Formats: sequence, C-alpha cells, structure tokens
Amino acid sequence: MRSALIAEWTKQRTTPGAGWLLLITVASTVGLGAAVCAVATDQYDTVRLALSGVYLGQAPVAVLGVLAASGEYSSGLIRVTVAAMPGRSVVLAAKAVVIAVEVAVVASLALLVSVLVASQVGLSVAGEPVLRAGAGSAVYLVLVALLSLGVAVVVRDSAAAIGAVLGLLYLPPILTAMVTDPGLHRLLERAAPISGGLGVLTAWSGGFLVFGVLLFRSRDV
Amino acid sequence: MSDATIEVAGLRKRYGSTTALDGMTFDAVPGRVTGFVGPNGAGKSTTMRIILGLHSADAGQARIGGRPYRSLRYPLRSLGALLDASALHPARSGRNHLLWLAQSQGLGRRRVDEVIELVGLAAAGRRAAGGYSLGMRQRLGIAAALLGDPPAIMLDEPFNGMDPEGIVWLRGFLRALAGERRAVLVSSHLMSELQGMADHVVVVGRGRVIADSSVADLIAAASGDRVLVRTGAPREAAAALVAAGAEVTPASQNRLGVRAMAAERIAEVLAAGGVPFSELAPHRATLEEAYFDLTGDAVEYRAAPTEVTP
Amino acid sequence: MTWPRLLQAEWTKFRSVRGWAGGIAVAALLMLLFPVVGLAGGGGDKQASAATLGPDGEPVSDSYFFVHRVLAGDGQITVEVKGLASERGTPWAKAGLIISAGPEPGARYAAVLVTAGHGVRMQHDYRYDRASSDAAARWLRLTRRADTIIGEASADGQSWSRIDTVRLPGLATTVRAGLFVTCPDRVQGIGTASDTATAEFGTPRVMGDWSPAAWAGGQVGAYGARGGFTPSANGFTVSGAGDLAPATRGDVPVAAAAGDLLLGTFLALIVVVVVATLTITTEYRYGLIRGTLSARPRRGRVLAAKATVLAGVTFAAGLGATVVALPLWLRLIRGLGIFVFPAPPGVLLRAEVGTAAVLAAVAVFALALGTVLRRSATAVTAVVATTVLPYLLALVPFLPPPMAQWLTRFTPVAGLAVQQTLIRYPQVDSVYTPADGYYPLAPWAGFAVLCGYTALALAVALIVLRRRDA
Repeated sequence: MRSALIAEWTKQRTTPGAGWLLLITVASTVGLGAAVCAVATDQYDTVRLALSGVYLGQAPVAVLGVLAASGEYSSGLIRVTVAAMPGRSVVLAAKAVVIAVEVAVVASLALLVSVLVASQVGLSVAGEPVLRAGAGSAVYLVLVALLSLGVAVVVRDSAAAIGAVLGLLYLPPILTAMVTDPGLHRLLERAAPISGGLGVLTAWSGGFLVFGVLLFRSRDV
Repeated sequence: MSDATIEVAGLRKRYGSTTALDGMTFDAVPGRVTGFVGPNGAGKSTTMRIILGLHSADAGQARIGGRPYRSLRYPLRSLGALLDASALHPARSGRNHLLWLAQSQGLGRRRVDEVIELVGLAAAGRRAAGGYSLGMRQRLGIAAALLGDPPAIMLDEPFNGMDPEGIVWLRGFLRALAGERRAVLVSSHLMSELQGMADHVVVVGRGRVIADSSVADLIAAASGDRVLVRTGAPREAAAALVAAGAEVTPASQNRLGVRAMAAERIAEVLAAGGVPFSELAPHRATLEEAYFDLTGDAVEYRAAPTEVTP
Repeated sequence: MTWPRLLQAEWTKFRSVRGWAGGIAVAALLMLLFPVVGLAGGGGDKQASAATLGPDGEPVSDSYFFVHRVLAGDGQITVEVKGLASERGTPWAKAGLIISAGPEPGARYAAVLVTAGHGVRMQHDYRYDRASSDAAARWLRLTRRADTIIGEASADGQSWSRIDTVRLPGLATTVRAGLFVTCPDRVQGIGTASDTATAEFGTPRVMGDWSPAAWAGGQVGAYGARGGFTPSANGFTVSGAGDLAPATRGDVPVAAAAGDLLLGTFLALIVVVVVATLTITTEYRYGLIRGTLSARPRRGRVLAAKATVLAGVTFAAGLGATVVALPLWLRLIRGLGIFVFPAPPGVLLRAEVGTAAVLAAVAVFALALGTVLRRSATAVTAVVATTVLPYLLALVPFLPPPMAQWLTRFTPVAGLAVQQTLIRYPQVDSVYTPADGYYPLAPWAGFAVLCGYTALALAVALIVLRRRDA
C-alpha cells in the first residue's frame, strides 16, 4: 500500500492538470463566495453565504476525481498501472487517499479565505458555527471528489462520468421543485447528495466506490 | 522450473461470440529470445494481457517462474512488459512516468536514471511524453520494462514505428538481454523482424499454437530438400522428373520446385531426357516463407486474392 | 469538399456512433417523461377550486374591504381620499371607489383608486390597469351608464379629467358600489410580509337611484379580519388588506404553470452536453482530428458543419419531445383536477420551439467549448457550470434575490426565459423568481443572451482551431 500511495501521489504531482484544477477550486470557491457576500446584507444566514462558493467549487473537484480514473482509461495508462500494481483494490484505495488528502487541504484553504473575505465585506462570521460549517463543507468537497472517482471507475469515460456526477449534484434540487407531494418531496430532498447532508453523500460516495472496486476487480482492463 | 520462465498453459478466452484464445500453450525460457508470431487477430496481445493479469482467462493459466502474475508483490521485478507504447499521460515527462512506476515497485530515482540512460532517452527525459515520436515512446516503454531488472521481459510489437537504426539497436539489445540468461518474449506479426534475432519461435493463428520450435528446425522443415530448376521447357522437364520419382511443383513461369530428389540426380535425369535447363539451385527457405507455409490456413483477416486477367 | 458533402460526412459520423444518437434520443425521452415525477404524489391538494378565477379564466386575488350601498340603474359616486397609509408602506396599497358586478369571488368590477406609491389609476376586471396623468389627484369619481363605467380624477373636486372608460359586459341593473381599501403583502427580499392599509375618505356624494340603507361594511374574499370601517365626523376611516389584481404564482402555490412541465429540460441538457462535447473531444483523443482537418483544410467549415449537424439533431429531437409532451401533460394534469395557469396557444408553441432551440444552442456551446478545451471532463463541466448551475443558484433560498435576478439575466441560463408561460403584471409586486416560472428577461431576449455566449464560444473555437496544430 505504501509504494502504491507514493506512486499515485507522484502521478498526481507530475501532471499539470491536477494542480490547475485545485487552483480553480480555490478561485471559484472564493470568487463565488465573495460575489454572494458583496450583494448580501446581514439579514441572511451569513455563515452559509460565506461558504456558498462550494456550489461552484465542487465542479472542479468533481473533474479532479473523474480524471484520476477516466483519464487513465482514455490513454490506456490504466493497463500500465494495473500491470505494475496488480492489487486493484489497493490501486483504487491509493487513488482515493491521495485525492482525499489533496482536496481536504485545498478545500480548507479555500473555505478559510472565503470566511476571511466575508468578514472583510462586513458580514458577521465568527465563532464555532463557522468552524463547524467550514469543516462540514471541506468534508463535503472531499466526498464529492470520492464520488466522482467512484463514478468514473464504473463508467470509464470522462464525459459520461462528469455528466453523471454533475447531474447527481445539481439536478435534484432543481427537479424537486417540480414535486409537490410533500412526502415525495421530502424523500427526494433527503436522498439527494447536495441537500441530504454529509451522511447521505457519504453513502453515495461509498456506494459508488464499493461498486467501482467490485467492477474494477472483475473487469478486463 | 527457472524463476524466469513464462509459462502459458491451455489459455482459453472468448469475447462475446468471438474466440480469442483456444488452448494457447507455450513456454518462454531463459537465455533465449522467443518470437511470438502470428497474423493480426491471432491472439498475441490477448495472451500477453492474460499473462499480465489484465484480462482473466476463461480457462488455463499463465505463470511467471511458477507463480501467477497477480500474486507477485512487485511484479515488475519478475516480468517487465511493454504492451502499448502510447499508454502515457501526454503532459507527464518520460522521467516522471518512470519515476511513479519505480516507486510502485519500491525502487528509487537511481534506477530511473539508469534505465533512461540504457535506452538512450536521457536527453529527452524531462520533456512531456506527449511530444515523443513513436520510436521514442517505444524506448520509454522498454525502459519501463527494464525498471525492475526482471529475469523475464515481454514486448508486444516493439519494432512498430521504429526507424532502421532503432530496429538494429533493439535487436542487439534483446540478444544481449537473452545473453544475460533472461527470458525474452517478443511478439510480431512480421516474421522477418525476428530473423537473425529470435532463437525460438511460437507461431500462432486463431488463438492456438501452430508451431513451437527453434528457428533452425523451422527453416529446415519448411525448405525440405527442394531444388529449384530453371528451364525453357518446364512441361517436358516436369514429365521427365515425375517419371523418375520426384515431386514437382511449378514455382514460376520458367521454374520448377523439385522435392525428393538430389540436385545431381536431377541433372542426370534431365540430361538423359534431353531437356534443356540453365540452373539448378538447392533452395533455403527464409523464416518468412516458413511462416507463410504454417499460417496459410490460420489467417483470419486476409485480403482477397488479386485476380490477374491475362 | 462541398458544403453538402461536408454536412453529409459529419452526419454520417454522428449517426454511426450508437451512443451519441442514443444519447440524444434519451435526452428527448427524459424531457417527455419527466413530469411523471411531479405526478408521483398524485394530484394532492392541487384542486382547481383552490384558485379564484377572474372573468377571463385566469386566477385572481379578489379580497378587499368594501363599504357599500346598492345602486339600481345608472348613477354616479364621488369621494375625496384624504389620506392613505399602510403599516409597512406597500407601494400598491389601494383606496378608492368600486362598482362590483356581484358578491361571488372573481366577479367583474371597475374601480378608480389612489395608491400609496403608484399614483391614481383606473382598474377593472383584475388584469386591466391605466394610470391617471394627474398622480397627485385626490378626488375620485365613478359614473355608470348601462354596462359602461367612466372613471375620473380631480385635484380639487371641481375640474375633472377622465382616466378611462371601460365596459363590464353583462352588468346587472342592480349593483353594489362604494368605497374600498385593500393592501397586498409587502415584498421583502425573497419573502413577503402582510400589510394593512388605512384610508381617510370624505363623505361620498351619490347621484342616481341608490338604496336608502346606510353604508354597510364588509370583507370581500378571504383575507382574515384585518379590515374594518368607522364613520368619522365628515366621512369614513376604512382599513383593509388583500388585493384586487391578477394572481401570481406566489398567490396560488397549488396551481401549476405550463412551463413547469418542461423542467425535464435540465436532465436533457446534461445528456446533450455530454454527447455534444464527445463529438469533438473524441476526435482529439483518438487523433481523428488530424484526419478530419487534413481531409478538409478549411477548419472553420468543418466546425460549422459539425455545429449544423449537432444543432439540427438536437433541435429536431427536442422539438419532437416538447410538442408531444406539453399538450399531452397539460391534458393529463388538468384531467387530474390540477389547476394550470392559462396560456394562449402561441405562448405554448413559443415554449416548445424555444426549449428545442435552447437545447440546440447549448449543444453548439458545448461543441465550441469542447474544441477550445479538448478534454471531455473539463468541457462538460464548464458547460454544465454555466448552463445548469446558475439556475440551481437562483433556486437556493438563502442567496440574496438580486443574485438570482443577475444569474438569470446575464448567464447562459437566461435562455430558459423561453419557457415562461406566466404573465408578469407591472401592477402587481410579487416575488417573481425563476423557481416560480418568471424570468427577468423577455423570452427571446433571454434566448439571445444564450446565443451570444454560443457565438462567442464559437468565435474563440474558430480562432483556436486555426492557430493550433491539430
């Protein structure tokens, strides 16, 4: 596992794509958060306003997660990887750990800056609620990255995988607007990754990762 | 069984309704270059993917030094392989490609420098691999195969896209590896590429082995004791030779291939019959001719024979 | 290669990849079937009876405090509005004179009125509104002649100017007429706060055959018990809440809008974006682009051919889905007793054609971004983040409303304005949000914004394609 981790980390480190995506994650998270804070007044839920950049920041995070797997499929590199590391679950675990750590670090940074910007604009954000919401948002982004990795392993195509992930993240809130039956509405809201809370998202990410591992182990590459 | 032997035993594999492998069986043993030859679609790449544990076989097994590939902790230290030289991230440098591979095998940077020097890529190592020529990618792939200093090496069509200079280099290189008591398995769809390099050939077609023998035996079997006769009167010559007990096949307009009769005897027979002839040449087959003899029936995708209207 | 040949080649390329043609078909199917989800819970309390319908069949708000007497035949009433104020300062607080055709909800009426923030106006039958040229007038007069009502205003009670003359077809001989006060909820941010207005009237002067009974007061429509009236020394003090106006989506939350039935567009959009992006990025991935471009060195034309094929296919598939889906589902949900805001056939057709056009424009947008970015994942994300995410953000309840307006005005999602089937009345303040089916831009103006982005992306793609080595 240790050598697999080092190898996967080197892989991520030595392509410019991942670095750019992480940079875009910070920029878009902070940017949208700042824009929202700029037009907002203090009467809203200031903590959520300050962290609202996550809505945009999750997109590059999803791309990062998807490309970590589907990028190897499109170039055929996946065969080199599996030939070098025949323990396929270990490979996937190593990828997951590397991505999770990267996103955790970058997301924390982005959210910290967002909160600082919000307080500069004059919103009252301080204390424990911000800390808790910030940590929650960072975990959220990590889970989005893992979800994307899992989906990409299952689907094996970048475009289809990112379409599925963004659909899963963005569509339920829009579509539940149509559902008026209160029971069904609540169910959809609870089951959707974006509104259901971290537990629900963990289930989605974990489910796709486990499904991905099962397929990855049994499929020819 | 040596640590280095690549054993393939009774592999079967179907993809949907097509049978890719139909009982593929052979060994590649240390100290010699084993050519793995067959037309496109004969099952060479599939066999290699199964050896590397990339695809699973429906039946049969492949082992490296007696162990299945997937059970090896650091597989590149047992078997180095090059399947597809283009399987690279275009933005990653050649050196870094080798670096992560080395790290996955618990090896350090020093080994990367060694192999990159060995294949002559030191100058280009820091450039993005997307900009490499096909020949450079092949060299990078060979460097990757050598990373773990493995006792067995397996290359799929390594000559593709190489310039003549590169081909000469690679032949010498593979011979040298075999000289170091390594097992070297090289696939090709062109027998001519292997001539002068392979000690042993495994000829395959339609997913199974057609011939598995040393190059010398294969050539001898193919050429037999055929003698080419050049004559202005092929019909009369054939009649005379058949009457004397030879097997005759027309080779071209003015030439006959004669079996089961020595050159001296042919000369006597023709002279006795008063048939003019200008040349008698004992024929030595090339490896390629031997190959066509063998694979004539096994070719799955072949151009329709060109019809020549007189 | 000639242009028709070029088109034919790109069409062959498109249709020969099973996943792409299938993807577009799936997109159309999603759009066609999506409203099923909305129905999954059954009709629920979405009953037609929940909405008060006006004379034109559209839902209306019909509640106000009415101080009235009965008028038989022709007649006239004049009054001075001495003051009008509401607790929260709602600009559309109304006080004035009204002739009502009957006590049933949604009955015809004509009124002249003073507003808190929009001058003096004559309104009738909920939807119709005309402003007086004299916004400072305080004297109001209504005259009935058969089924014609004349509204006038005056600054001093001496010289009168006519605001409007309106017809109330089928007006009975005997009607109730008098003073009224009403006050809609104050719009604050993304919500509303209830408000009550109070007006000081002078003593009404009447002409004609009025019943001798005293002025009686009462609440019309259901709007709580916030209204009331007290006679004062020389007139009345009347307070009331509610509105006399067309209802907006916010007023009738249980009603559906035809545009709702096209919400499956978002599902279709993502599928279309994936397919459109793949048509160009796969050419890059497999080096096919070299063949494509060297075969036809005029790269701009290649891109144009691809865009034409893609736009044509998505438009056709999208239109096929919408023209079937909209009428079909409208019939279905009306059959289930769900009230749907009425929309004329022209508006429905615009929503159908417009939605297909939006899909086509987004497909070309994705093609252009795919050409520029060359990687599927990046391109798909960029398109989805600009065409779907803004709509989601506009829905997010805790974001400030100016943000939602801005997003649906200036991002590619503005194109969805073609799906608006509801009418936005200037005389009604409400929370007009995209979630409720109101877009800040006019339908084709919104579509033009989307096309602007598409054209820009195509231009960049063209420049990049010409400069870059394939």
